[in-house]
Amino acid sequence: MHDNDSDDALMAAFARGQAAGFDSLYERHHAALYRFVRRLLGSACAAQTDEVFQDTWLRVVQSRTRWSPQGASFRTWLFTLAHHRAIDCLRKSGREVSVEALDAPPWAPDGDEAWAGWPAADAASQEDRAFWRAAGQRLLDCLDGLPAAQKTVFLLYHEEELGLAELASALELGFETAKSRLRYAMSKLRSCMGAYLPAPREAGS
Amino acid sequence: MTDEDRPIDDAHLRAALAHAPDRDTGPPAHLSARIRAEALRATTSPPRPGWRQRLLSSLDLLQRPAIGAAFASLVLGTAIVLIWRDADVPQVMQPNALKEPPAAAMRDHAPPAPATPGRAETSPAADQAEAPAAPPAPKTAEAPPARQREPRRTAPAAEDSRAARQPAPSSTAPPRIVAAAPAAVAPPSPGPTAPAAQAPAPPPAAPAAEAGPPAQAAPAPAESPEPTAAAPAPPPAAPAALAGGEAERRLDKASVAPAAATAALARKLAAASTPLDPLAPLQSTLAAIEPAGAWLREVEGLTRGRWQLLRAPAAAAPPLYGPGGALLGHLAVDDAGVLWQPSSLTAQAWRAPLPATETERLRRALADWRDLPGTGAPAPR
Repeated sequence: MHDNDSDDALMAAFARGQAAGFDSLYERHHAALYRFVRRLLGSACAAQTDEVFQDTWLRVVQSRTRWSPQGASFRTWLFTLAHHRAIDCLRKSGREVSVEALDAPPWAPDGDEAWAGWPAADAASQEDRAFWRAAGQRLLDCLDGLPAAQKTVFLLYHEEELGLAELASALELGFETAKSRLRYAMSKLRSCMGAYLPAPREAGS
Repeated sequence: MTDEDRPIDDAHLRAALAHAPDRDTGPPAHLSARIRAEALRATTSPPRPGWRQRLLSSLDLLQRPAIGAAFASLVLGTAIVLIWRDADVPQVMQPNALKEPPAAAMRDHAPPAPATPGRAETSPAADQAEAPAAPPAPKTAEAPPARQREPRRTAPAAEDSRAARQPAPSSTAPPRIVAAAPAAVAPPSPGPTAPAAQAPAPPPAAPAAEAGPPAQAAPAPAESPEPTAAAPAPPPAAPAALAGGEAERRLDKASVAPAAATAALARKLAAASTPLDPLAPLQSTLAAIEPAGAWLREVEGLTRGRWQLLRAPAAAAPPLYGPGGALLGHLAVDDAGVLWQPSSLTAQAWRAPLPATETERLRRALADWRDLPGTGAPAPR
């Protein structure tokens, strides 16, 4: 089993009974998937992260003989499985909030003015790295306030870098619906981040 | 990511997400080990077959003869039920008595019934049901109502051993007279040349004895006649083989010497093959030919329960010829009753004692059709 084999080839090998194929797949995707599940569940349901993560991979094991690449990549299918399992967990815990109930008119940011004072993402200074760590933590806190549907779209779009069309197909959404959810999520996050995270210059002045 | 998506992309949010504190977080080592172990176990154990594989494997079971035969029988039975579920029961399977109500049958076909002593023994209800046309049907006290519909083939075996112990035929129920079974299926063929094996059907309610009320039910047959070397020809429905087998089984139970066992077996077989109806050959031949048929029905009603098997050969009785000149046997009506000896090699002589008034009338009626010109057989109507 080679590291440059595609996910589809590894999954096909696993379906034929080669456990090495699953090991390679797990090695490639386990970190990102675990992070996705943890962020999707949020701090309130963080205790179920391991359970959802394990169930997702067990679903992969059980479905190995029936799996076939039908337009979506293995990674997309894997994250979709995790999404469905996480939504089930949120519904059981009563923390699933409908998208429509919290959908307010998106806050219109003033262009890029809110981020004008932020350092570059690849800044090498110790101060700038501290700023981005604080920004990342703040973003995680803001994600907790998003509905799961918007959170999923945002995470798949920005973290896993899925295209809107692929994302919409994986989540069985219309393209415009996926796009709308992404806009709402970003608007809320910008508002949350800009309101509570002052720019380094303002903070330093 | 396409260009269409770019306007909603936010580099700052993406950078913040990339610098989030959980960036390097991964699953616990024990969780990863458990998942990998589960995957390894799944690959080492044979995969669970799908429903198609299970269906095919179940079909393989049909290749076993026993299972295949059972399945084929089930399919065949289901097909038969589905095909003929709305069809009527074939007529051949219905007894004659069910084709027509007993009272109506007797009204239509029974001859005028003179009063007889046996008449007084019938139940009042039966009298009311068939009062106008009930034929004289002497009933024996030994005939239980429950045996009215008992198949004839079971009677000889049931009475077999008792008959051997009680050879006196007059004290028990004699054979009854019923219409031959083939008459129910054979089309009426009044032609005089019809052979006995293809006997014409009698009138629809010819067996007045069977159509009678329970009080006139068939008596248990076969009290057994004295065993002789020759037995009367069995009627078409007489299961001689079955009765013989029953006699043999019973004989095996007795501890007798081989020679005695052989003789006893011969007697048993002869008794078992004794016909229940001495007039059955006549019924199958003459029932549809008048006036012989009417005469036979009347004799049948009068002699029910009176037939006795004679120990010695019958006295010389005039021969009786059937259609085509075939010898049916020897039949006579004397002052003591009716004497009948079939013509077959194994036939025995039978006598049914009757009152003098009945014998005189029967003798005259017999003379009317017996001596018809031609072959000497009754002429077709």
